[in-house]
Amino acid sequence: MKRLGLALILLLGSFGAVAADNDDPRTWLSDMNRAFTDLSYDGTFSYFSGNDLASLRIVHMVVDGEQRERLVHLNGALREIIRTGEKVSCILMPGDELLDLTDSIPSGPFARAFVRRYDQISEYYGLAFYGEGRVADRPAVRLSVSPRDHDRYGYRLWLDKSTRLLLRSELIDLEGGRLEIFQFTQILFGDEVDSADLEPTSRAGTVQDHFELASKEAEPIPMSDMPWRLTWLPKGFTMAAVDIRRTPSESKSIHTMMYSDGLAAFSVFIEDMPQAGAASMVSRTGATVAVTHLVAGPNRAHHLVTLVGELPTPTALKIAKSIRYRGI
Amino acid sequence: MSEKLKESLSAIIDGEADEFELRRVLDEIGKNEELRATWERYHLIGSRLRGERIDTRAKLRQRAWGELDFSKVDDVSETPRLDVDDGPQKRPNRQLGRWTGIAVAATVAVAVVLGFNNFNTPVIEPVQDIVVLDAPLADGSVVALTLQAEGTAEDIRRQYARMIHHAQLRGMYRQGFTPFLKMATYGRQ
Repeated sequence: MKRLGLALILLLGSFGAVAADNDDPRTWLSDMNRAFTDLSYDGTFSYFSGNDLASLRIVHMVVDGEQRERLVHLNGALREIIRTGEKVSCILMPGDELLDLTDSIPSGPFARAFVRRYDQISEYYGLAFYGEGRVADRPAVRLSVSPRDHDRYGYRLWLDKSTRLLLRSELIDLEGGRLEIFQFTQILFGDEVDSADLEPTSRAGTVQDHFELASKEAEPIPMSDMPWRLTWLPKGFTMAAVDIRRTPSESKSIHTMMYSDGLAAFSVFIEDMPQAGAASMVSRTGATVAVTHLVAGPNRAHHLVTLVGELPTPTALKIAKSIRYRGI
Repeated sequence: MSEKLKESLSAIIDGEADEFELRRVLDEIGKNEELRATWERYHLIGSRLRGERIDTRAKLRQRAWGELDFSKVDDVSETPRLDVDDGPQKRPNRQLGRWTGIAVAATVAVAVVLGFNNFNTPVIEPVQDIVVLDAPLADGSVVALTLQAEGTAEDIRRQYARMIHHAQLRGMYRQGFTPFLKMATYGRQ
């Protein structure tokens, strides 16, 4: 109990500096972001998306100046995501659907990254406090993040009153319905977190799939090399990443562009038409919509465009249909 | 596919399967690639014809339980015309009722020929594309997306892989509140 008291004093002390900005929701969002990366925490949470409820555990610490994180799915076959600094490994059991699908995903760090801070989103979202609550037996401050147009979703956030870590979030559609819910059920902070819990579960037969986080030092790809462009974008979305690379399982290139408004993000993948042809289709899982669409490319040959993002369907369709090849 | 499984799938499609048989086939679908492809194709066809968004593979499985009630036969009279080749099916009329709840733009004439050589090779030949009109945008314009009625399991797989790729990108670029969460939970939904 003494240790817990000390940890709380330390935590409260570390946030004393921002107490003056307590009335500004933007400060709370920035602090939330910092809490995710700077604090030590170990908690279990529920995640509802689409039709299903998942339970996960997250352990996060900064060890020797390096961020370490372990995210474990608590149901079904073992699935863990381990982050050590900029390196990320997925630990999966053989036959995991994720493993089957990641062989068609280009690997390695992307060349260009622009990370936008949460405190710059207020042009596109209205931010407001709306009372207090309690999550995982901890007092929380509630914050609403409401879109200013119909091209993005909103959020309701519950931030831990003392550490400002996100304890619960709801992703809200344009009609006010909840598309996704994330909620801690219990969480420990500071000294109560044991670094031994950052180690992956040892289990025979697991398969590891590695990738690296985007590096700010990477060589930027000149935009002139990207022959595809979007002729319509919702307000506030700017390019967050661009890349052209080949997939390991298919010897063809995929042009990838990711856009973000600071909260919502979508990715556009443009590839040659597969030999067997492909259908245009739209699917949705929770807040994530995927649109596959055919676009004329070089020599007017059809190319396959897939847009995936946390966007309202009409907005995603409009973006997908605005993609043009240079000169067409 | 074994004869026994064909019979079970047939019984489910005809609405004649008991709960035990349903569970057995759904379990088998999880393990048998061929059966899963057949099953997903049936659902894909059904979804397309009803003008629904096409669901992901995992969600199809999720929905399977809820969709096995074939007693809810839609009103056929108000739907676009379908020419159905009965093939070897036992109850083609039930099938027709099941798959004709189509919500397509009224201006688009749709004729789809559904033929079944046998239960695991449904043949879909789109005579004309199906067009689904989406909700009007904020600026009053309407976006139409053309759906070809020939989507395959490979199409769904490709789109699903891109969804995971996007989830990975979100993680790599620290987008959103919980960047790696989607990646950790994909396929479990």
